[in-house]
Amino acid sequence: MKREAEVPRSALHADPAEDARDLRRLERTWSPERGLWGWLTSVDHKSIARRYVATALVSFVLAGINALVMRVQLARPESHVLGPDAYNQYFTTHGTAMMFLFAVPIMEAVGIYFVPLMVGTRNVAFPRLNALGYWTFLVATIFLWASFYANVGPDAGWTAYVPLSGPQFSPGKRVDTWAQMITFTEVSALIGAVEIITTAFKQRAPGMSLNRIPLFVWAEVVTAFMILFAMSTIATASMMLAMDRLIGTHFFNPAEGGDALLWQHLFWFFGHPEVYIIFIPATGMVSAMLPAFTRRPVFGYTAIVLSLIGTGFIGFGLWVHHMFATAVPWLGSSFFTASSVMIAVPSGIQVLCWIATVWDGRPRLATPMLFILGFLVLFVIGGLTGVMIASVPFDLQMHDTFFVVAHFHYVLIGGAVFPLFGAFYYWFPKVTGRMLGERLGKWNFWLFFAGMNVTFFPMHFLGLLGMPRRVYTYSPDLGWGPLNMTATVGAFVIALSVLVFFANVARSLARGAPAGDDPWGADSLEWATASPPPPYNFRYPPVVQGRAALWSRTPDAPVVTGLRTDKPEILMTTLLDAEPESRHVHPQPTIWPLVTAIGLSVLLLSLIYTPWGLIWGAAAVSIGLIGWGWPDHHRGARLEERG
Amino acid sequence: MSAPRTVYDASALPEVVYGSKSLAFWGTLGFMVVEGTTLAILASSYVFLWSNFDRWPPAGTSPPSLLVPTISMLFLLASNLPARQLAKAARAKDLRACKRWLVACTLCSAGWIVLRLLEFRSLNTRWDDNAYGSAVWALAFAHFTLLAVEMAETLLFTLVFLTGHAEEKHFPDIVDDVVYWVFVTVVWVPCWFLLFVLPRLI
Ligand code: HEM
Repeated sequence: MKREAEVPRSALHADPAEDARDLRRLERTWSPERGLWGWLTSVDHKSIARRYVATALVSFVLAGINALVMRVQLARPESHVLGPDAYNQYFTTHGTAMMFLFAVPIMEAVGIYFVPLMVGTRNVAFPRLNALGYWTFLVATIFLWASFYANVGPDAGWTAYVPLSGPQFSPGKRVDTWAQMITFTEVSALIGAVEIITTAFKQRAPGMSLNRIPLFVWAEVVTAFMILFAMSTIATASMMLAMDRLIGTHFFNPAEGGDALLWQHLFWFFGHPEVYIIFIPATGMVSAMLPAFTRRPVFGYTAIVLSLIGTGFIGFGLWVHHMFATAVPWLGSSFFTASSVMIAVPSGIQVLCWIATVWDGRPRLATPMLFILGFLVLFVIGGLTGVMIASVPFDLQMHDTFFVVAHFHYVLIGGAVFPLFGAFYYWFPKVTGRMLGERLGKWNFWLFFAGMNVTFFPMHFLGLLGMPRRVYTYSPDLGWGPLNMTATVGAFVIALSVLVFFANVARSLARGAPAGDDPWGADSLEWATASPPPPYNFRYPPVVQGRAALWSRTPDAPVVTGLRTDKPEILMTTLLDAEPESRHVHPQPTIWPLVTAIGLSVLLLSLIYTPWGLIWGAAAVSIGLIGWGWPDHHRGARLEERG
Repeated sequence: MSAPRTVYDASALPEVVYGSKSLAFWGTLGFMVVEGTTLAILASSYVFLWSNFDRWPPAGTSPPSLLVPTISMLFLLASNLPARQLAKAARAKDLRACKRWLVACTLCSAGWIVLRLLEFRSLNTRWDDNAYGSAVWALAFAHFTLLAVEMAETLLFTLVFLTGHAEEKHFPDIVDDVVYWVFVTVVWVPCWFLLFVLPRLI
């Protein structure tokens, strides 16, 4: 064992040669291995988050192509681009992929990248588990799209309502695809949630007490808590559905005392919070970006934190409002109407705080700021129609029409995708070291904004005219043609704007302007390190002196020293005040998460075909877990060696 | 910006910490929330389906026997005694005692599994008989998987310790493992009440 005095630890050196040697050692300790092996074994939160984002964007594009094909089909009455069976698979796969493979994971992935940086630590709390989360997500993505292109894509709607999705009305394997894919993605979402909560609770930089945590981190934490409850629910429900289909249980089969409404309750107990799971991180992004573009801290920090937490709670009280068209007791309906309207309050508070921030600041209309403003406009429209359908009589009229399609696309695209694109422009320089182009950025924004309204605004009227959703065509004498054609044109404008975005990314990666550490003059800790950040994130863990960590930092930039440089060591701090508490050695890169994910795939995929999959799969998973759990010693760590 | 200044020297901080100071504790807690929610959802479904029936278990299905499930439940609770000793040994960093109690706990957890397999037989229904059967089996089986996971984890620790691979960092991990142990054993008590007692009372 090394004697204490010989242990290399980080320190501030006056001598440059000593300093350089120290830095090299830190780099060696934290760098991933080289080549393909290094890629497969990496446990760095940044590289895993980048993969998450890239994978989710692939699903965004593929699901977007589904949307375009559907819009072409609906552009004119009685067209034959898609038949009814194909249309069912197209919209189900579009909705499922957009929700489960794009929106939720990408919001979590941005958290996995930036939460550690924003709280000033070197990695997420459980790096190997994080890798496992990504690999299961990748399997889910490949699985859904492969099934779709092989004509076994799910086709019972992204809500998979029974009895339609039950064994009697959906024979074949399409719905099983859906159910297993859900289980997979929820495993990864749950892992991400545990990562984010633990990292934000135990690894914050000294000085970052609860009331100094960046709003984006708060938003990710509240979301993670919602994920813990909501995703466990849907994973359980989808398992019940799969069992009804595979081994003949009767949860949802009325003939044997099961109940179709049980599915709806379980689905919406997850499904409504789901909307907030997508929306809350997006609001966090807005709060993270605003200070840089208004040159002042966000107005009403405490009010925003409280309304985030409030939204988290009320979000779970809302599920029944998706079921007003069922025989839910009347008193119940009134209660749920009230809480549906109530949720407008915390969201409203946040909007007011942002408007006050812009009002009082000196707004600078860079691309991220444009997306924020676009978000405010679209979200208010979506929110208004939301409050409209929260009222039972109106909902009964509009149920399952294009009015609802218009509403949720305003909320999802306006409320989540716009802030997300703003965040791409904002954080791309940090992740890649290069700026995205401003001119293409403006094109990207304006095409998206215009296309969005041209596509979805007319759908409100189609809904009022009675056009049902999830129907592959309509007859010419209904007069819905022109509005539908308009919507289709709009969809292509959106597609064009997304193309502009990818062109911008490609151009910047090739020859974008170098970003430097802090191109926006922003206030949070991720800007206190290089772009892209080194594997260890911060040479010395920073110490935080105020809510806006960088704006309140004194010129001598106080830091923590004394962490070992020969082992990947991180600093742990107390939950409330972030006082230094202990040092923790992080795991090294490892292949076992990937092996475990392969075992999990064997488990879940073979279960589609035979209950024995449980046995094979459990064996496969065990191999991964044993390899994982078996200690992989740092030298001198074994107790028996020490005697 | 002038040169940075050290305001905190971390070198004296401990490397091995217990309970809520350790990361693993928070991970364990997270997974307890997930699994607790899963069981709660299955229990709620059981109650929800119950409301569709006049008689529960439905006419034609015999009620589960009470004896084996009750023995099994009591055994789960009793197994917390060796688990407590194990946690104590780990906190005291007593290698020999840890080995001893790890073996005892592994044996206990094997006992859980055997008893649960017998318990499945005393449910007196199959999962595909009717919605009642499905709901009962789902709850019992879901909890069974938690028992199996806890057994596997304890077994792994036992092997690591017996083969001389134990490290100091394993002591807090064992304490967290015992936290999970308490969770999986105690969480069964309300489930047992729901499946085996409540239908007899109402
Ligand atoms: C980008 C442009 C988009 C277009 C043009 C588009 C278009 C459509 C269309 C035509 C439908 C089918 C309507 C029907 O017949 O019922 C649909 C359904 C849906 N879309 Fe989109 N969409 C877009 C983006 C998104 C995004 C970003 C999300 C989520 C984050 C999303 C989520 C959904 C969901 C959940 C459904 C319902 C699927 C179902 O009925 O099962 N969409 N969309």
